[in-house]
Formats: sequence, structure tokens, C-alpha cells
Amino acid sequence: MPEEVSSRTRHLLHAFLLVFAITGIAHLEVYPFSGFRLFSELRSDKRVGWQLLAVDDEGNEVPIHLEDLPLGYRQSARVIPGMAHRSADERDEICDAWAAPLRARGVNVVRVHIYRTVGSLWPDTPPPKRTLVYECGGRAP
Amino acid sequence: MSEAVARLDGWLFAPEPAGRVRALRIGIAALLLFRLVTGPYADLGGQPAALFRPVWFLGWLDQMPSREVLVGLQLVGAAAAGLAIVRRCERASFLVAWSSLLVLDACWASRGKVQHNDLPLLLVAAVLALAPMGIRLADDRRGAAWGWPVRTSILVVTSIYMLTGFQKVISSGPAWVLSDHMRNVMYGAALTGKAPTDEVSRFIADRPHVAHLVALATIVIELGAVVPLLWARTRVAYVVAIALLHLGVYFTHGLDYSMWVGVAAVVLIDWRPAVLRLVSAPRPGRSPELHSPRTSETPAAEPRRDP
Repeated sequence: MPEEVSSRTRHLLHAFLLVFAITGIAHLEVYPFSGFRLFSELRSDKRVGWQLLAVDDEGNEVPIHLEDLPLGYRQSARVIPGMAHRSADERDEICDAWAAPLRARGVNVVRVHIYRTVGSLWPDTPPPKRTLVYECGGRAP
Repeated sequence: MSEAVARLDGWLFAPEPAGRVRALRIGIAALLLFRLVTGPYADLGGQPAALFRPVWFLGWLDQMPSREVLVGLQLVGAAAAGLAIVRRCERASFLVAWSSLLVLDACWASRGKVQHNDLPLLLVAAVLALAPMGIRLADDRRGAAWGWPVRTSILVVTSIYMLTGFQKVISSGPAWVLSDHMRNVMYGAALTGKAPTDEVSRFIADRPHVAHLVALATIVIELGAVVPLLWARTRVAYVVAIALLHLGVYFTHGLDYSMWVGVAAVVLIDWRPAVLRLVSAPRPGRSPELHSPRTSETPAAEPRRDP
């Protein structure tokens, strides 16, 4: 049983703590090291969100509730802000992915509308206003 | 600077009882086992490839692994965690359990959202994977070789809380406590419908003074992690404080940080004396864990140096 600490162990430990400290202080996400930003940003009373609506072949809009879909879909609205930097094909793939569960239920989804909603977090305020940001999808069979 | 590093080194490599490393490893392996068995990973299978946003070390994958692969990883990891608890092929089994959870949590985080739930567990387990193996719980030998795993784990757990508070102060300053920030957070939480009830978040949000108090208490608990780091006697109280903090987060946001509390309880509280007292009653066929390996050649215990 070694009772002394080898220089290799010391170096490894120093490297681990250095990465832990750098990522923690500089708020870098290098999984499993983290910047540990939990609720650190100031939250205003503005409620900004996204609304996904599948459009069927008769023009009806059917809501897509990501939080009600399997775990792999939840939180995926986080890709929307980055969609501006993606090609039209990539945007279509993402929208078709969101529409897949509805298609599996027999809804003939021809495209997906993505609305940006802005409202207030506080009670007794007007409902959020929405703006159509993207119209995509419809390429999947 | 070099003096500060030398002082940190002196603290990290101060002696601790060998058996405490074993106690830590049993506790962390039990948490790995619990997480591997109860984690939601299998449900990630079947995610459309277009939604896959891999963390850096899964960048070579073009989509989420299948449900079968995820379940296989859970089973292998859980079996390995069980073996680590009973000290069979200890280093290998502990490494397999840790790497299984690391990959599964990485898959969970590959939805474009950092998952903090298991990070303290993964980081402390990484430290313990490097620590000396083959130790018994009743091993009273003290030395630096058993000091650094214990102290590094304590440093990691307390630093996570300090960094969480530090990021709030850096990003938002006094407004995190003094503005309507906490009220907005609580009204937002009530709208998500994820918590078991929205009564708690609305109760806080509707009362500005309560909201400021909750924000202040949160920052004090997080930055106050320096206290249990420096004073061992405060560690039990600190675990109680963070348990209440995370319970509050659960009842307002529905977010499960139970692993943070579990890891803090395992690391900050020295369970070994209580466990040894509990199982040391003389009876035939008692566990070999309890036979101290101390021999006449073993150096006498060094005096304890508190941090």
C-alpha cells in the first residue's frame, strides 16, 4: 500500500483542479467540467418563448408540445436561436424531426411554423404577442 | 502565487485515515448505482438525428445512440457500481461505473442544454477513481496518500457551490438580490408547470420582501460553502442547509438536484465512525471490511491537522 503520493498523481490532481477552476471561473462548458451558471443571469419580467405549430394539408395549425414528447425532443427548442445560421435544408430537417410524432399519428404535416412569443411573466398581463419567424419542413415523406 | 499553491498543496496532501477513502468510495459508488438504475437515459433513444447536439467528446457520433445501447450502458455501469461497492476488481469496476454514467449523462446533455444534475457526482467520482484502492473501512492508518482523495472531494463539492454563487455575483451583481429578479424567476417557474405545485413559487413571487430574502439566502448558502471547507464542525449543518435549498428549488421549479445533496452528504460528513460503531459489535463471521490491516510495522498515527 503506497503511503506516499507519486508525482504522477500530484500532476494529475493539479491538472484536474486547474481545469475545474478555469472552467468554473471563466464559465466555460467543457463537459463534465462546467461554468456552473445556474440562474446567474438577471431575469426581466419579459417572457420570451417559442411556439411550434404543425400545418396540415388543410391549413390547420396543430400545436407541437415538445415537453410532452419523448426525452430526446424536450429542450430541443434551444436549437431555434441557432437556426438563422443554418441552411434551409438543415432547418427543414429540424422541423421535420419535430413533426415526426404527429406524422406517426397520421397527421399530414406539410410544414412547421415557428413563432417567437413575447409577453410578461407577471399575472394579469396581456397574452404574449407572437411573430412568425420560420416556416420550414415538409420534405419528409 | 507560488506560496498560495504550496499552502493549497499542504492542505490537500495532509493525512487522513485510509478507511475514509473506502467510505467515500462506497458512498459515491452507491450514488452511481442509484443514478445508473433510475436515470432517464433509455428514453433518449430514438431522438431524430437533426436534434442531436453532441457534447465535445461525443462529436464523432452523428446521432443519439439507440435505446438498446443506452440500456446496455446502464446495465453494465450498474453492475460495475455494485462490484465497486463490494470491492471486486475495485479500480476497474469503479472506472466502468463512472465512465458509463459519464457517457449517459453526456448523451442527456447532447440535446443542446447543459445538464448540471450529476456533475458533482461525476467530478468527485473522477477524483476517487484515481485514489488508492484495496482499503478496508476499518483501516486507521493516516497518510497523505489517503488525505488527498478526501480533501480534494471536499474542495470540489464546496467549490461547486462557491462557483455557483460567484457566477451570480459576477453576472448580475447586487441586483440578483435587490431587484425584482427573484420575483420574475418565481413567476416564470409557476408558468412552466414543472413543480409539484405553483403555490410555493407564487407565494414567493407575490411578496417582494420574501423574494429578496430567498435570493439573499441562496447567495449566502452558495458563497458560504467556504465555511464547511475551512471548519469541519459546520459540515453537517451545511448539508442540511443545501438540502433545504434544493428542496426549495424542487418545490418552486420541479428541478431534481438530489444528487448534489447526496454527493455533499457523502463527502462532507464523515460516516465512517458511525458505520464502524454500528457494525463493530463482536459476532462470528463479521465482514473482512472491519479487520484493520494495521500491523506492528505500520507507523503510528500522525496527529490530525484540521484544515
